[in-house]
Amino acid sequence: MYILGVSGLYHDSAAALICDGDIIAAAQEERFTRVKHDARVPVNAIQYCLKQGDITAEDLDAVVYYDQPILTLDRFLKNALALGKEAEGLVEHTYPTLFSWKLWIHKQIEAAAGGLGKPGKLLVTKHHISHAASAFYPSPFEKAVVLTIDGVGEWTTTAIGVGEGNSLKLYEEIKYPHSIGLLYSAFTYFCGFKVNSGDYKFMGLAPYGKPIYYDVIREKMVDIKKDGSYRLNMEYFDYHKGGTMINEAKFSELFGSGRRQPETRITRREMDIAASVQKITEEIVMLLACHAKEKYGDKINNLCLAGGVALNCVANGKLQKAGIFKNIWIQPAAGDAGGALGAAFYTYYTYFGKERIPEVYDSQKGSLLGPAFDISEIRGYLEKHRYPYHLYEDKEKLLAKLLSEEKIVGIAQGRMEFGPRALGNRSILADCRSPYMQSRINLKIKYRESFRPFAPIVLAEKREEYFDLPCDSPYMLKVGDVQMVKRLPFDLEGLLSDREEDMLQVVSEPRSDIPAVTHVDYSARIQTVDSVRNPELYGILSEYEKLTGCAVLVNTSFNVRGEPIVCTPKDAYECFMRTDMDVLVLENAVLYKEEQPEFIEMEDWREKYALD
Amino acid sequence: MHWTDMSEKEMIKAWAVKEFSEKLQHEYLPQPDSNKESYWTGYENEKNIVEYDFSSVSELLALLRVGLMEENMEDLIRPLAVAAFKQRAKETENGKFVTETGEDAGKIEIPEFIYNF
Repeated sequence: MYILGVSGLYHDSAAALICDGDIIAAAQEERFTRVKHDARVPVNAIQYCLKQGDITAEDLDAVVYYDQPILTLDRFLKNALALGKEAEGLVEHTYPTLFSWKLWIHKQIEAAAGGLGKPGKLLVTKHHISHAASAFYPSPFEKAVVLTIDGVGEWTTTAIGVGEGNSLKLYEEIKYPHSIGLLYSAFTYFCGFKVNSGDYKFMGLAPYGKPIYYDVIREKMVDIKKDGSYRLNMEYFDYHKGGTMINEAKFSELFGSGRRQPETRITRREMDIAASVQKITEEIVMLLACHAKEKYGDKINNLCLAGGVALNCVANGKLQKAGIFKNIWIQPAAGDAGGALGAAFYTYYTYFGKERIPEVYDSQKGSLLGPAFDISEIRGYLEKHRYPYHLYEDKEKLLAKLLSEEKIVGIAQGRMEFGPRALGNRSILADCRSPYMQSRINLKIKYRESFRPFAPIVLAEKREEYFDLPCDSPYMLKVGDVQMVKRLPFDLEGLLSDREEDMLQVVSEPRSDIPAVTHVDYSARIQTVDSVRNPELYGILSEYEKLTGCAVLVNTSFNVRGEPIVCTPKDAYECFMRTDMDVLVLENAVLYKEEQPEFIEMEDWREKYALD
Repeated sequence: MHWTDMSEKEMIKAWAVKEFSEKLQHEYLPQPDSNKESYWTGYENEKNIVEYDFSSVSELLALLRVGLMEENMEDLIRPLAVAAFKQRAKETENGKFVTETGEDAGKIEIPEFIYNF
């Protein structure tokens, strides 16, 4: 039984194909169109899924979209009604997308897929059921409490439920306009980052600051109850009026001055705001989990998480460490992209009532669900363009040696990742022992802000040697601290003062034996690598450890700032040549920068990829 | 309400002004309430998955009548259905999207300044 799930028209559109409950393919549209967070109907992702399944739309038993347009229309109208004379901005902002696109989703998907399968009609699931399904059904758990937290989907912003066997129900919700996701986005905007792509940067900024605004935000802007439920004081926000995220006058009153202008210097104020908002987010997530455990998880030790806020890996790490639930599984594509997968699973297990047998690890297949390119295709591309390359049967030892010499290696092998994190198949790998590696990759490879940390990959069996994290983290969704024995003295406050808040200088100060992946608070966004989920990456890391004694490498996504992660060999080659990367690996083909011909582009890629 | 000279978009605005009440404001955009112990509300699982299909105005009207249950929305349902058909984005030969009335239907783009919902 084939089911195609689709998400889109909000953020990160995607498609996913399952067959008899097994994931055949899943991919985000942005990887094909090269438009970051592309929200359009995922024509390319749908076509990829059908091709991967070797089927056409006629073979589909169901096509399902992850959101219910009439519920969204209901929210829009009631929102307008509650604003009365002030509804002008909301109507102007929402009307075109809602009436031109969202209400017509069935026709758009039909056109994109070439049909709506055997029934000829689209199914639509509720937004948070889609998220919940994306977290529970692929998890290794027979029974789990499920928590979904995002900006908003239809009316819901936060929901708690329980999954058991093939059944999934949500029991409680918090409704729009009250939303942790929107609170986080509001502050992301106020601190000069883009709403939809800057949340991750804002989280990365938090460890530089102190939560000195925590009390004022708690007192004035958000009311949190003991059971984790919360409401925002809407006087401080403007998103419900269709304007910007915030009431800037009210924000300025509280924080001393207006919004930081994008790309200007980040000051202590933004660092402290980020720290304060992160603290509040963690507090709410913790209370939500406690409430969920108390009310629904009496004998359940498993928690599943999804929704955009579940990408807050710092909160996830603290939740794991708190031990409220022994086991936590988070959908790697926790944002809207994962909704496509969730909608497909929900249809299979609930609509069609099929039996579910959880797998030992999980059913996500390492989240390596996207396109792969075989070596003949790669060689064809390289030879057509006369790009010199070398073929290696056993590349692990070679790559380990190059990495130990501080070469920066772009690697595109196997199936592309589904979700925002590069997990070793579309990654840039580097030596983490150099104190200069973080700023080198940020400034000369990724062309991104100097303060942003990099994630470590670590051999799963060596996790505890390096990091204080009580479980594996195969999808890079949990943050843990670098072990005390690996740390070096590091006075963040003193350095920020001495260096006049110049974060480039601060990050160049070593903080541990693995400085490039140690954030300024000694935390790290960990990916544990095992031989089951990603044997190729495991092989490289194992050889690197044999050579250097270090079981950790830098793993960052293979892209530049503003660019979606690379998909094809062409994407990878172009990104390789635009940056200071030293080596490119395309399956078994290895390319050295110094051997490549001069790379001339007609169009400046900096104009193609707007800063995120 | 005399809507004959208004576009559907203006009708929605006029409807919001006409039907506005503080009671509804408190219901749909509630503020923090120190008297409440919890803000959780029950989740309705009945329509977690439904068919979604219409090709004609009458089919959309039927869909809206089921989905938009409030009394104060009754007058608005027909204009909403008309709006959907007038605004429907169709791709032209040169790759642009226009509405039935030939206006630019715009593109689905994620704004930088506001969460897209």
